[in-house]
Amino acid sequence: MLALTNIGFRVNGHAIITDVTLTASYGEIVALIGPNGSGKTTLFNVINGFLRHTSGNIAIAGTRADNLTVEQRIALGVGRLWQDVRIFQKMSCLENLVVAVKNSPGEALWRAFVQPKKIKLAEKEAIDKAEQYLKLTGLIEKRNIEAENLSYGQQKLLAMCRLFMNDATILLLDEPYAGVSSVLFDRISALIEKMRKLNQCILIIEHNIALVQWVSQRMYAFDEGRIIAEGTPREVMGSIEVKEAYAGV
Amino acid sequence: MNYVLHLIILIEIFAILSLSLNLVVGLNGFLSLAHAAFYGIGAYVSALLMLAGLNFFGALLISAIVAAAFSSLISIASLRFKGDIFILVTLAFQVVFYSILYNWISVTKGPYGISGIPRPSIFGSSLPGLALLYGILGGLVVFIMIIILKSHFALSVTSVREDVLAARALGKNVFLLRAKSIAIASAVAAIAGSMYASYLTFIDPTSFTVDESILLVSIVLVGGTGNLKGPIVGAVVLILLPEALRFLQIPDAIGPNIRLILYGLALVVLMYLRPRGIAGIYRFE
Repeated sequence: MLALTNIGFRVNGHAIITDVTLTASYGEIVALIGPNGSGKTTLFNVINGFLRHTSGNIAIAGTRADNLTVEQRIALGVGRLWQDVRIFQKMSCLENLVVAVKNSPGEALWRAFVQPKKIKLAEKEAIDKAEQYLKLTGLIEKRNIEAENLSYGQQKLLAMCRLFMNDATILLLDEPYAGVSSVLFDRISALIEKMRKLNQCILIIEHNIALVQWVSQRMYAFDEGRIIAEGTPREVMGSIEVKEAYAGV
Repeated sequence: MNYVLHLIILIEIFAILSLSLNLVVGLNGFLSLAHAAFYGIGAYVSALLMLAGLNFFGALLISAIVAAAFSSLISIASLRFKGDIFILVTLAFQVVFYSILYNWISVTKGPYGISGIPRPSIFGSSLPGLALLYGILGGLVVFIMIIILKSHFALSVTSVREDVLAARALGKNVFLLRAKSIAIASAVAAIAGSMYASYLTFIDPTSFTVDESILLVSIVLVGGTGNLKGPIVGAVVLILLPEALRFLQIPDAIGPNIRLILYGLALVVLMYLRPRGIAGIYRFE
């Protein structure tokens, strides 16, 4: 699970995030909503370790993570779906998925020379798993096509599959539905639901309120770097502060 | 016959160089202007060791290790930055290396060069024996490259090339992946350097200049990167292309210039018609 306590992030004296306390458990989908610039993506960068919070505590999978590097946090299971997707453009769809496997034996080159059988086995396993996800998302026919040729929505699906291959258990999904044609909404929702069924801990940033109300179990509403409302989607959407923030009053 | 063997040996040496440079240009997406320096480290270290009495293979191995160690200087100085900084750092390394070769006379004999380097004698030290030995070494390098390029390691390095941030977020150790592949490339370039020194039995700094580095980059770009075929095709084409001039009876005074013009022309035409190179799969940008 993920637990943030009184997280603050300041740059040159400017508070970007103030006093954010937030939890997400395994098997739970938690949505972060709020206007642009309210600090949601910054918070993801803080959880990921790309930015270092200036106050408060972060616990990832029960471990105090305040001083952990990006790599150490990823070892604890943190995974990220980027707002701008960031698939590996010039690699095939299959390669995009296979590369995401953590600690693959073939990553150590000496093994490639000394234990070719072991590596072949691991690669085959990875390819089988990748093909399973390509089938699930309807991308199996694009298996060997460079990922840059996919539509934006398909790229997002691929990037989400990458998280399964990465065995990430604490998922930071930054706008999974944004820029995707509505035809693919169902497939993205299905993947998120599959993540939940795998007992993963899921944080979603999303502007499509209608969709995210339906997908998530709990919500936090942000404005100017603070949490202004939290609770079930119904409670949050009913709160006066949220209405004001969205109406820009 | 000797002329043909000479060309075969040169192609073997340059194919090894371009295959190793492919790890930097094709796999990492970095343009290195220091590859001739690692080639030179291989040549000088093994020449000195062989003159001190070590055999060819021992000298070759040690020079490869020395080159890999030196490559970490470049990795540490440049890998935290973007690709254009890498070009500058490698250029600096190359220029400093050349100055050291030229001026550290007590060790490198400076511009006089080192002569009397012994040839390996397994298959005899005549040209056919040497061409055979170098062919076997070249085959070994191809074999090593096949395994490297097919490995998960190569896939990970490629992912770093495509998107550093995304690769990091999947748990890839960006620095180590890049540094390792550059170290391997440098070690293999040093092997080619040892081969070159033993073949000519004489080396001097002029074989390891920035110009040579640029020639190596052209070979890789003309042939193509990202796979095995590209660099090998590039080496064959750019070694044989200027040789064709010999048969055109061009006077010696303008021969070298025409050679350079040909290299430039080949690069320009290719970048226009086929940016991936003749046989490559990765388009360097």
